[in-house]
Amino acid sequence: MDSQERKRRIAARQAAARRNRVNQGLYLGVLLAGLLVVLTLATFFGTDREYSESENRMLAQRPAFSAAALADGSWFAGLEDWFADQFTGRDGWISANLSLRRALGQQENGGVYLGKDGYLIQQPETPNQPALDRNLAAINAFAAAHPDLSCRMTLVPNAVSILADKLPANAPAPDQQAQLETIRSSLTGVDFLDVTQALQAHADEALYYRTDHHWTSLGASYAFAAMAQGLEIAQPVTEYDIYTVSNTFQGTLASKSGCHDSYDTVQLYVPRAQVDYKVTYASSQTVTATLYDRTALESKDHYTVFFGGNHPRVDIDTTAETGKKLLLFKDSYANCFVQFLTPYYETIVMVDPRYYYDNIDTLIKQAGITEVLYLYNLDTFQTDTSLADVLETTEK
Amino acid sequence: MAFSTLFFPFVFLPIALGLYAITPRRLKNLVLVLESLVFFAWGNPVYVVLMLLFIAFHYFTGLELERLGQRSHALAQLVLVSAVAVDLLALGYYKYYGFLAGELSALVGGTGKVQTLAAPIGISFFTFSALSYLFDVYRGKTEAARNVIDFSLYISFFPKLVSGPIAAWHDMAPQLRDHPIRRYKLSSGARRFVVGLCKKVLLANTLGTTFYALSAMPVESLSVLGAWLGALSYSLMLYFDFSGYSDMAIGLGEIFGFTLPVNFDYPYAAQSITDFWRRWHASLGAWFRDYVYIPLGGSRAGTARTIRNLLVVWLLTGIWHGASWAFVAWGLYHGVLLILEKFVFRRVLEHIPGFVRRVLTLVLVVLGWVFFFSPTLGSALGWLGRLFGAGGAPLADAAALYHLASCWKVLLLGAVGAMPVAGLLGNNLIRQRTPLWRVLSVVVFGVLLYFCVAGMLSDTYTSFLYFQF
Repeated sequence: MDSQERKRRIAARQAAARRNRVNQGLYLGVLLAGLLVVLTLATFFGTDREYSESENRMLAQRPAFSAAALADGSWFAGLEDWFADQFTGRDGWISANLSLRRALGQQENGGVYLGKDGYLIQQPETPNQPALDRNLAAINAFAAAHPDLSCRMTLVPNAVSILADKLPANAPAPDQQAQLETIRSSLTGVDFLDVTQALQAHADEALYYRTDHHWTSLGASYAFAAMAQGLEIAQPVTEYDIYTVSNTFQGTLASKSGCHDSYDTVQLYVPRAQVDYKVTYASSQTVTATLYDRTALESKDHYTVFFGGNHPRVDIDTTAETGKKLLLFKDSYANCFVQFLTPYYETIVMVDPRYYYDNIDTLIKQAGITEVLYLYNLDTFQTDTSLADVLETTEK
Repeated sequence: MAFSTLFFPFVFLPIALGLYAITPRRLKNLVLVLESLVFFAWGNPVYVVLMLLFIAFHYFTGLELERLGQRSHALAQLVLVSAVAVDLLALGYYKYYGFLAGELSALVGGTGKVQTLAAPIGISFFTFSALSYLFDVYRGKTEAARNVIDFSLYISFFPKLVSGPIAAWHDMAPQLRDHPIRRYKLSSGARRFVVGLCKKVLLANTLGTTFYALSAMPVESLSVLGAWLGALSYSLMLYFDFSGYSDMAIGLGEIFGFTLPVNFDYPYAAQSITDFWRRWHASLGAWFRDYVYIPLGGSRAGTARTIRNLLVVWLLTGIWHGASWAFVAWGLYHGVLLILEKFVFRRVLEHIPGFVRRVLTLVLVVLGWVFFFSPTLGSALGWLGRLFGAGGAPLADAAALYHLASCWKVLLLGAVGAMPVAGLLGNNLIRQRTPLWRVLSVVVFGVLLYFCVAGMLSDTYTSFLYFQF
């Protein structure tokens, strides 16, 4: 077919179509104009929200106009951001989009697998190999420099490997077992306490939240039972008072994926033991008699019921006269794990290296530390860039 | 501001159209130019100065060409050559300087890294529009523009500014004088805009998630199935992305009373590579045909010259798309295919049934896109190898099966949507005259539009692929 004929055909087709489309265009025009006008006016004259619960972030506000902002383009960009963030019914539109995408077959969103039984499962990040090597070297050097301390490590595998059955079929996932093995074999002078088997044995229970990247108190309790012997705890308490403090929790994975279909239950496990304690938050110099922060239940992130979130340093002094004084290098997985440790230690000092900048040897001397435990989830541990900095303050 | 960001259809377009509609007729073009400059300024406001200089330069060059053309051919030629050289240098500076300087620096043992400036959006497109103007005036095909507002509008008209279609001056000039708003144009323009939006937001972006996930994997770990899924999802994504953008541009043009050239005509239904290039990005093909291929002698000066001309055109087409060896390879790949089709297999192809020809063409085009999407020539060759099981690629692996499960429905939808049958269905739907069907067609559009808005809100971070060219 030559191009002349093609052009003629296209022109004829267009002319015929044009004749027939005129009337129908009226309905469409009304629909379009209506949608545009209603939504735009509603957005312009609606009240702006400051914060989005479902996205877990601050929303863009109306940009301030200035000549400089106009010249460098930031006013235009700010206007666009503001309009999108404050768009009428934003959350509803976003979940409508996700529903469509899922109907079309999509099985992940925003780095989160949309798993079975309402499980949202985070895709682990690629390990930061140079940082990991540096951290491991620092951990080994620290152990060598402190022969009087017993150093131990537990890395908690993530939902992506323990809950492999809940993943979409064939979903790519790293071999966390192999990663743990590599890390374990490169440790010297550090006792690696494995919890993988203990968690795998209970994989059909609620070990991880459905909507959050953390493990649950139940998961932590199985891990503790598996670690007790390694921690030289002779007679671990096996009875707990269990308090359900929330069943409306929607965590970080719900925000990341935009999928708000399910809710989680947050439980506190209090060991039945005659031990009192006080908790000191070093940065704010506050002292409390509880590990829990009930005000967290009024905020978005109910997981922060444990210690109110992450702090540079938290000291827990107990009435347990065991002579054991623990220094805990940790990420947020430890926050719900520490409730299991209180009966067995006179002192627990939690240090979160991501926010801690003081000399660690001074701390060890002042607190009379006898043991060190590294407790991280594997994903965070393999991407952490701050642990070595804290450990190396000893060598100066 | 991309057409597929929320702000454009909800804020910019209604304001632009409203102002345009209430402006007295003789000021309408001026208002459109100002609106276009605001649109252009959105990404980088200082570049508006460049745009004004660019317009002024071509306006005066055009007048000068016309004046000289009547007296001295040699002088006119000199002016044309220098003006074209200035344009190509400017284009080269923004688009190719980084690549060339990097390659040179690597050659002499440097780091291969150079500082570059961000290119003004649409520079490849509006430079080609301006060149078309200079060539047309030089050849006496049209008069030079007298009205500077009309000429500014030709260069900067926002619907076609960032990604075409590249309208030639001789097509646009008559429309610039008179382009009334008509009800039938408004409605068909709006419909075309929504269709383009759907292509971009609902299909291209969804296919993109599969493609980007697969292309993030190391090439050596792809299975045969994974490599084909990646190549197919890219092929459809690129088509829906670019043709969707063209549809939006043409629809917007119609709303403001213009008829912009058709850019895509179901290219994946092409019967041959020659046919493909009449259907894919036709306005660029037409530009190269009119201003490079034919002036070089086209196909009338013997086989050897024709082959040379084809290679020149396709080398340039490759380079136009971007500064990398992979684009050069992609351009030459198509050039060589066209030469083979024209001179070697012509007889053979005539005896092959149409269906087989279509499939063959499609496979060749998809293989070509591998060069197009690969960051380097080496990774392109690696990917091509995986398509055919080189390096012990397994037929399928878990990752490929996972992505197949995620994308087969969209691939299927896309495959149907990229074929002429989609247009047929759409036209039949809106051609029905009974009230029930009319309401139904509006409902269909309403639902599509609803999901477009939802998609635009959710996809604030994906942007149009062709901006970088």
